[in-house]
Amino acid sequence: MTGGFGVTGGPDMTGAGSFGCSILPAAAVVSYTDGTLDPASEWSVEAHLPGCKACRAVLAAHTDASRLEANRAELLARIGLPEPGLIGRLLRRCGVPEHVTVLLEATPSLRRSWLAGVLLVLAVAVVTAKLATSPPFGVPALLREPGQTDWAIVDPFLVVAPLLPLAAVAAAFSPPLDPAYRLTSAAPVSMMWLLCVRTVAVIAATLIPVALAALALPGPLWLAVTLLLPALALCGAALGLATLIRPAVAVTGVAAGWMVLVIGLAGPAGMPSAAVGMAAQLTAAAVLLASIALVAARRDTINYGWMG
Amino acid sequence: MTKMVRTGEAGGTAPAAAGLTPRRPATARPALQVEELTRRYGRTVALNDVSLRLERGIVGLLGPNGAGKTTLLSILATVASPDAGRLSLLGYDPAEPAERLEIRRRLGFLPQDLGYHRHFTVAAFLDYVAILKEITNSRARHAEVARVLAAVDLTAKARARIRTLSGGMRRRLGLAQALLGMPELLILDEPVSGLDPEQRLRFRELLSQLPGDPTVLLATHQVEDVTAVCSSVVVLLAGQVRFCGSPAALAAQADGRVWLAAERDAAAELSWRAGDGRWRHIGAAPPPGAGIVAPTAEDGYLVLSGTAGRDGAAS
Repeated sequence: MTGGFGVTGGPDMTGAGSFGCSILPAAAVVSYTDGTLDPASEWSVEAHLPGCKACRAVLAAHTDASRLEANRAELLARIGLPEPGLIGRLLRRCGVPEHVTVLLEATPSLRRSWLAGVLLVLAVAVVTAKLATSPPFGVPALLREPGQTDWAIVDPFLVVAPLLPLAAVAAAFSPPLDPAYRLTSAAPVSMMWLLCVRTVAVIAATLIPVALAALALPGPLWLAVTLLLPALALCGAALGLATLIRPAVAVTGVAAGWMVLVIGLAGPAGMPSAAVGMAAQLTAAAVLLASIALVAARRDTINYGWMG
Repeated sequence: MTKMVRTGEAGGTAPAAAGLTPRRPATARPALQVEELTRRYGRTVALNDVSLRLERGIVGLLGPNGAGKTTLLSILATVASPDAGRLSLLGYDPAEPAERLEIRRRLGFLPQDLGYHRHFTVAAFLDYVAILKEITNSRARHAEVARVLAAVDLTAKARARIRTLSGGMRRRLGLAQALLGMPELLILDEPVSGLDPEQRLRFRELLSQLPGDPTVLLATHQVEDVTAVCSSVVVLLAGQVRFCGSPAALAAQADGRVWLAAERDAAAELSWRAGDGRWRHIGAAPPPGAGIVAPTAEDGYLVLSGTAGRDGAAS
């Protein structure tokens, strides 16, 4: 700060007039070019400059061209940065640091197009189920026994819904969908940290619409809750296996395993119990815990050479 | 094209504003030491028992396609791991997680294929990579993005989508992201690929004025770029190091084997018509009426690669 040229005392007039300006001293203009004035004095000088040729001459003589060039470059760079999108604004309002939101916004499965795709799949499932329970396409709910769920209508949703978060997690770390993965692999940012942050974000962004769709289905309300553990278990299993085998093989294998389990082994009558029953919940919890342990134990594989 | 801002000019002010300073060498050890490095892809041996010891400076890595250059650079950039061998970068061992992190903090890497998200603008891409390089403070990051943009003369393209850039501009953008954070070690895979002659000259200027005097390992097919800026050269052929020394020593590989003659000599290992209409021959025996000439580094490289072909060194 320049003494005597601040908010309390106003401009120091010492030296004013000696170079053709009767209002400001040359030193004040020089301090302005150096960026050492306090904000109030800066505003005063800026207000004065347009009307004073002598002060503008001092400004031109003392301006650091390289500093101006750097400022211009920084300004252009900032202009080139896009405004945060819907997800970014939402995350920042939730207190997520700015740099984390930038990383998350680049996640393929958090892009608007991906989320729109998820919503479309869910909407198709819900609308199909609704039509199946309404005349003239299906049996009205009133004709069924009270409290009885028509599982044949809900089954397709049960099979597909837990796979949506799995697909989102896979997309978040898929080299074809994350083309900057090679740069990420050589960067000091912790892949383990990135994995956790992105996984939590994409699971949350996918599970919320899945839960809302489950509530809209003509089934029990607890269906939305019971989908949570199988979905998390599938994601965890895929990430854990990806530390042992190629990520694409791990995700495909887990998805195929889920389909075989709920369709092939359980059979039409056993479908609900296989997907959302107590045994399935306990199994999913066990798989999830084992997966977390595996990922933690193999974290160095994630940090080094996982994608390479 | 506007004048490229010299790194010294742009770097002299913005890094201070960004709170960034060039990293100092961690130790007095060689910048890079590789011992008996081997990497296989199935039955293909990409690197076969490679040993290298490189001091600080700008090092050129020459070799034909498929010689193992990209594999070697990926391992040195800690993106891939070797099947066998020991490695030391800037005095750190990448096999140790904590030391690997220290290497990555000091590393700038330009891969052969620069991946980017389609929706990224130039500035957004650099901002993203800067975050990956742990520059989390937004003000410091934006100043650093501006510095590297100016260094590669892309400031005016900050708002452009990457997919709209020409191949040469994308290469310069790749170089810009490698320069983020003023790395102590720069690993550049084909940095001049797609650049026009003027841009290549500016690339040389940029390399020779990098702040902090980093060690640069530069893989290229352009022998003249190597002789222009590199203090030493490594020639990799069929996954093996066939030469490591100065550009002058590389040229000396062809001493007494380069001839100029009026006629083509079918017995020469290599021959081509020079701009003045005479034939330049590389071979042990002089063609009839030929005069011996001083070899260039390119001649030395051709002798080495020709020798490798005759020896049948295979991967």
